[in-house]
Amino acid sequence: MNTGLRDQDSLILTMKAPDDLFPRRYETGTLAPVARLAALGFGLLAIVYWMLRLRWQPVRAVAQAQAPVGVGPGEVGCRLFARSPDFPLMVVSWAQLGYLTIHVGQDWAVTLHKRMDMGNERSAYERGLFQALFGREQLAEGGGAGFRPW
Amino acid sequence: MKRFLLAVLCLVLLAAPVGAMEPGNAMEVRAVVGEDGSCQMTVELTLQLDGKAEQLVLPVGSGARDAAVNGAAMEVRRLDGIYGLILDSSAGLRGAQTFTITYTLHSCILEEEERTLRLPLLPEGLAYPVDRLTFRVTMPGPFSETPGFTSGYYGEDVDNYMTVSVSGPRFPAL
Repeated sequence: MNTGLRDQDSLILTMKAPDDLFPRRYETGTLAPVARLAALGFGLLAIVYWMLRLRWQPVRAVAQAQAPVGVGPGEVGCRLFARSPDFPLMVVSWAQLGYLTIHVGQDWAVTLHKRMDMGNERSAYERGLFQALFGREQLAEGGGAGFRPW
Repeated sequence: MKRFLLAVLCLVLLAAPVGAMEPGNAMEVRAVVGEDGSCQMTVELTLQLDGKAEQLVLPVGSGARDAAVNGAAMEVRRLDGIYGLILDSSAGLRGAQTFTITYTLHSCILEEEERTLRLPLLPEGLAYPVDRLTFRVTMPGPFSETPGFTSGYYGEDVDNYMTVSVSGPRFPAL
């Protein structure tokens, strides 16, 4: 210095700090372990949250009294016990759904009247039976006396 | 006449050593900057003390640690916003006192828009004027940047009152 500095004075040197002179590796020295621990902790919290709130819950068996969707009463025996379909019960369920009407005569003669065709809203198996029952006719007659479907 | 000349000669001989001592406060700073941004400071400070003050604050930079005065470890304290080493003497500090202060600045790199080396050669807070200041800064390697200087009193015009030279990785000022 060519002159004196006063009391309470200061002298500061400043200079651009190029990376080749001051490598940046010292910046990652002290906080890196803390950052790793924090990342590990947050990762574990995320896994716990996923297990408690976001994970698919295990499928549990639920008891219900209704038949599965698309399965008529006549096919319940097939699904549960691998039995043959109950055709009279299927006819009654078709009547309930409006596909036909059932008329019972004085001598217990049963007559089935088709009200509408069965489309692909029912299964192919049911459509086949319905077609076999009526064919091109609108009427199908039962066996007469002694025939009691219910 | 001989007695008069002898008396003048004696006065000259007595005055000569006083003039050779160059009375006043002086500071010599040696700073070694590491490539990690830390800086090892060694300050040799000579003060002419009048004995009135019982306490002397030797300012060091903010964040200084491992401080010592004349080889004795001292704690860096903060007093009125100034980081310094505090010396106490109930009898008062008197005469020319020389202190060798060493301390380490953890990091002198400022991470702003661009990275800047900020090195406090004379931190603010010394209650005495410094008549002569010399410093020598050793950088971790060769550099091409031009250092700038700022004084609390002279501002950036302090460059006009100092001589700076660069030799190799060093640039001493005398």
